Amino acid sequence: MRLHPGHLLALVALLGQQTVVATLVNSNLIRTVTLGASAYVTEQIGVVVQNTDTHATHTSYRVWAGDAAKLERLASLHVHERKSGRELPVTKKDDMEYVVTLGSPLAAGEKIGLSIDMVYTQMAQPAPATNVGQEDDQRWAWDDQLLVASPYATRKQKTVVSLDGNTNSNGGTRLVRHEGARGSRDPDTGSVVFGPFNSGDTAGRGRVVFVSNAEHVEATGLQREYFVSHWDDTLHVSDACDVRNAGPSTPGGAIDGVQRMMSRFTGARDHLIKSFVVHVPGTAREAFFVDAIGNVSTSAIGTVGKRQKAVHVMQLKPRYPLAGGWRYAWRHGYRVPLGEHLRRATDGRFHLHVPFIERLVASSSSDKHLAVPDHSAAAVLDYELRVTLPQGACNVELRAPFEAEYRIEHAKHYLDAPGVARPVVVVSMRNVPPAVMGQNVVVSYDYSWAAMWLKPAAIAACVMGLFVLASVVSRLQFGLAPAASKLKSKAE
Amino acid sequence: MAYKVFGLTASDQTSLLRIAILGLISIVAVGSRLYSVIRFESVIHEFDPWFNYRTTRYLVDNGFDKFWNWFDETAWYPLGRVVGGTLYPGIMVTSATIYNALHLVNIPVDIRNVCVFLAPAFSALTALATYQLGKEVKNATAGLLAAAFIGVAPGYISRSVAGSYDNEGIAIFLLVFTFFLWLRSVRLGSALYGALTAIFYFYMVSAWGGYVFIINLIPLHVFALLVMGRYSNRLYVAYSTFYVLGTLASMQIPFVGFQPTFTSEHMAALGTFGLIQLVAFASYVRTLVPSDQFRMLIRLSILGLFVVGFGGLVLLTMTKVIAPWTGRFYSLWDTAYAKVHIPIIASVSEHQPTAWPNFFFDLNMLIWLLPAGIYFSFRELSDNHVFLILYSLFAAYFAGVMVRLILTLTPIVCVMAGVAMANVFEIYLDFSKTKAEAENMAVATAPAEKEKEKGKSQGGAGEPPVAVAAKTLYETAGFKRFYALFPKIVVVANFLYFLCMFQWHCSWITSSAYSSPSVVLASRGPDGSHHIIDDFREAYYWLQMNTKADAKVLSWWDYGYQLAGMADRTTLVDNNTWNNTHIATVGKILASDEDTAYELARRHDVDYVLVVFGGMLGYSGDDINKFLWMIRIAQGVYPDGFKEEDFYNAAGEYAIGDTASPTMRRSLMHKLCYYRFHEVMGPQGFDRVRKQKLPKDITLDNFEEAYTTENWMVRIYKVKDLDNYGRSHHAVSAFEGPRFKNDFVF
Repeated sequence: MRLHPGHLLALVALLGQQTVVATLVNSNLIRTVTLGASAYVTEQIGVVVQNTDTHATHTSYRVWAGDAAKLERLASLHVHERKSGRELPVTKKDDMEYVVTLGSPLAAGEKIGLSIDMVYTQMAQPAPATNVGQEDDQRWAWDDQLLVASPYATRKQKTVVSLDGNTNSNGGTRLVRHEGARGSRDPDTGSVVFGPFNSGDTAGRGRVVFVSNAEHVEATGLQREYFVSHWDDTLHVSDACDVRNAGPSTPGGAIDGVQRMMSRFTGARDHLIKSFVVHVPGTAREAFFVDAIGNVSTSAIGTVGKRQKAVHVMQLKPRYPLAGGWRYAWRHGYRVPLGEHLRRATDGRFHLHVPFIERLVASSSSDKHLAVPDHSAAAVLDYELRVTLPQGACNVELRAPFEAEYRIEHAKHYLDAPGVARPVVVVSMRNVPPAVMGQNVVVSYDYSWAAMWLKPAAIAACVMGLFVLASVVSRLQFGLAPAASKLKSKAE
Repeated sequence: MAYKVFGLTASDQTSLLRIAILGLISIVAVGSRLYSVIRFESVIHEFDPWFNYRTTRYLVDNGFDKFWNWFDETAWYPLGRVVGGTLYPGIMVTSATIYNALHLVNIPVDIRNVCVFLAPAFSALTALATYQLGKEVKNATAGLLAAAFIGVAPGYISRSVAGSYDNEGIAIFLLVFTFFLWLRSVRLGSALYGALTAIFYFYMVSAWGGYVFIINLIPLHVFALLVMGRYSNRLYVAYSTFYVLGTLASMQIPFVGFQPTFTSEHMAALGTFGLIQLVAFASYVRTLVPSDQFRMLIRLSILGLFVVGFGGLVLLTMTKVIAPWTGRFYSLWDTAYAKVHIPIIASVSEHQPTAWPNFFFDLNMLIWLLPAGIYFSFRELSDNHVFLILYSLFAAYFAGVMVRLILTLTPIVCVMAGVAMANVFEIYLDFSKTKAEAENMAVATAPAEKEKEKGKSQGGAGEPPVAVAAKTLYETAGFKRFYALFPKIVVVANFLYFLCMFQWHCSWITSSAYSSPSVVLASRGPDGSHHIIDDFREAYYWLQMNTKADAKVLSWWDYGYQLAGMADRTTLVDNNTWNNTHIATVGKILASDEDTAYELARRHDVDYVLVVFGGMLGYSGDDINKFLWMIRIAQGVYPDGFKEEDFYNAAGEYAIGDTASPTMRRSLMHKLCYYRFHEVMGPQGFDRVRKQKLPKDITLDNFEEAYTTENWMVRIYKVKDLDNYGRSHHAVSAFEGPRFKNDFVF
């Protein structure tokens, strides 16, 4: 393994910290890693923490989410107290470390059970990176340190790697092999257990290879834009997506044209992503699906499911099927009546409720019928939400049921009068966790009637000004002598 | 007597009506060009527009300075192309100006949409310019008719539908408007209009190579007027102003540079400029010298000048100081010239001579109104009419030899048709005179009738009453009125019918023939359903997304601009066709056997080879059908390599598959098109374009299939890297077997 500068940093930090907090120990730690059909990998660390000091101390607990490479892939980190189930506040101290506030100091010898839930992207990589045949199983490898890094001494720990039971039409997941110290397979659960390891043991890295034929898609760039128009009574929604099939690549990076042709009729499995499905509101109108070189001709909107469970979906078929490692970038969108998302409070303030992000589900099925695959959404590695408010909106703020930092930018569109810009609320997020998907954010702003009439007034003033100017110019005489036609008409 | 309506006088009413009609004409002109956007989408069409679009985007993104100095290393690899110095920047600058103006008032329009709708917007301007031209040479009626004709004439629409983002889209407006300004400057003798002519001529030079037509036609007009003895100070002022300012301005375009001083295309203008100076001088001398001496003087001068001038021209041409005419111009005199000498020009379909039905197809009834217009111009024959006649004759000739030049014929045909029809309507729509005549006749015949009645009563009842009744019928006032009106009504009704049919024809042609983007194809299923075939964009976008940013793609030159525009990858040759050798090299690679092609391709750093194949869908514009041109062009540069005859089989047929000649079967093009094709089409499968049986057992070792589109229209192959063990790729393939195994057994 190559030594990453981040690893060194982590090591230095580890050594430095360990000397400082010798009085708090992890008396027992069990890490459960769940692999499977999802593009996300979850890690749950159950740890019993004990204050070994002689007096009450330690109001916080420090968590290392892993080395620098792993931190890059961290999507979310939540900590609960196991006994009460209470979520504990977590703050990011620096690039490496998160601090959990425990509330009251731990009494001497007191133990507290913590549950640390982490979600990562890109933790499972295709192995081998290239498949021999297009229809071969997709194999993935999870590879990580077997000992959980912590600033505290850990007396006993083990890592359990379990496979998600979620099965799908492509054959579900199945364990192939495991490598690593003290690894064994639990015959009852099918999980792989590494450990237990006691304080002072060395373990190195562990590796679990498994088969998952589900679609593993990463959105390397995703941008959602809401454009609020009060005059039009419309909310324009558009998503710019740049996705990559994270699965094993095909031989020579190519796909078999003959097999592609034939699988249209036979429906044979080929791991090529043939469509994406996104939810759209039933009132969506003027949907579009374009990429850098124009409309993509193949797309459909329809209802899936029965009665109450029916949902409206938009099926987007990319220009070409995506083999492992292939990219595709596009933009889709629609408009919905603004009233569905905007409310005016009694104090006159406007509140816009909109989904923070829409799930993007990939499908490799050749089935021509519209269907929503039941497996999880694409992993979103880089996300940006932009909400463009009308010209003159002010006192803008964004509230979300999760931690989201936002900034306000300014933009101008459609004959906006000079001097007054449209506020744009921008939220950027790396590694969007699945829990956030489907949640709404609320953008609140003030918008006076004067601001609303500003543009029509400005345009009317411009037109009037032009009219007056034309009228004045037509009455002025620029020539040295009066024009012949005018003389003639005077003579008449 | 003039009635006031809404307080407007009759002349105000006419002005208002004229503006309203012109507005409607503009709307129709724009509207009829939008079929392609409605049927397909707002997309750039065909081939050259993709280059214009790409350069416009570059201009918008990087500013004028960078655009002007742009060296594009991704074209004509490894030579590159000095883009700023080898294009007519008019259309790009126009679009970028519109784009920036719209953004200045915060209208966030996409540059693609500006480019797509530029030609329709300019067609509305062309209609206005044609109105001015018609008004200048005849009257407002002729102008309005001409504007209505040019608005919908398919000859112009063919090059200006939405998405057809090419130089001609704005150039026709500039052509017409420059001619209008020229005619006005000649009529008024105005230096101001002469200068305006020069400015619009400069705009035209910056926009289209067809400016050569202006710089030859205007001198020709001047020359004709001089020969006809119609020299005037007005002409002198107009031409001198125009030529000096126009030429200086045109030299500011890098692509034109010093050409106006040394190329044959511009010599007529220079010569005429000299001539008019001499004529002006002569006419001045005439006022000073007695007429006998003057005659002698003028004869001697003409003789001397002719000898010196002609000798000088020949000498300068022979010493190559004056560049000879370019190949494309030679093919204007001799239509077979290009086929023999320059296959690359002959291979382009729009450079072929025009078939007769094309004139009717593109101009409908206007083509037979053209001679009528010429006739009416001869009847009046002012300076302006001389111009119209010259323009008609020359444009008609050029349109006959090269199909794309119907475009330059269309404006004059519309003006002439407008003049002709205005003359017809002047006579046949003037019912006031008819009414008066009929009434006069009725009054004149009334006493005679009374006389006859008198005679009848005197002569008794011997005469048959029927005859009396017949006489009465012919000679009644009502009948005479009808007799006077009937021919007018018939003629007017006929022409209205023709006008309706013209509009019908134009809409139909526009809709069915000129509104296909060619980048996207459409087909209809047996149940009438509409299918979009989008293989080109599928392949181009795949290249853009899934190959290295600096990958070099080899394809026939037709697809060069599209590859650069849509796939954003480096190409070896493109539609600029400036380097025949390079194109011939590409032709040679495609026509050679696999090993030779591999070696040549690697020498040119080629990563991918792209071929267009219509065998599955029946798309006849594919590379196999263009292959003979590739061979001819390659053969012209590499005569020792192969011969065109080698690609015909023993029966002399251009065949594919197992009946093809061995050279054809070995050629890379044949292999790339048909590789594994029989596996999808089955043992009885055949090529749907050639209607021939497919070849089997095509082996391909040095190239590997990278991507084949949904309908197999575009096939992309990767040029393999050298083997790590130094083996030949044939040996590697023999050892490893095929990469993809066919599990489908028919």
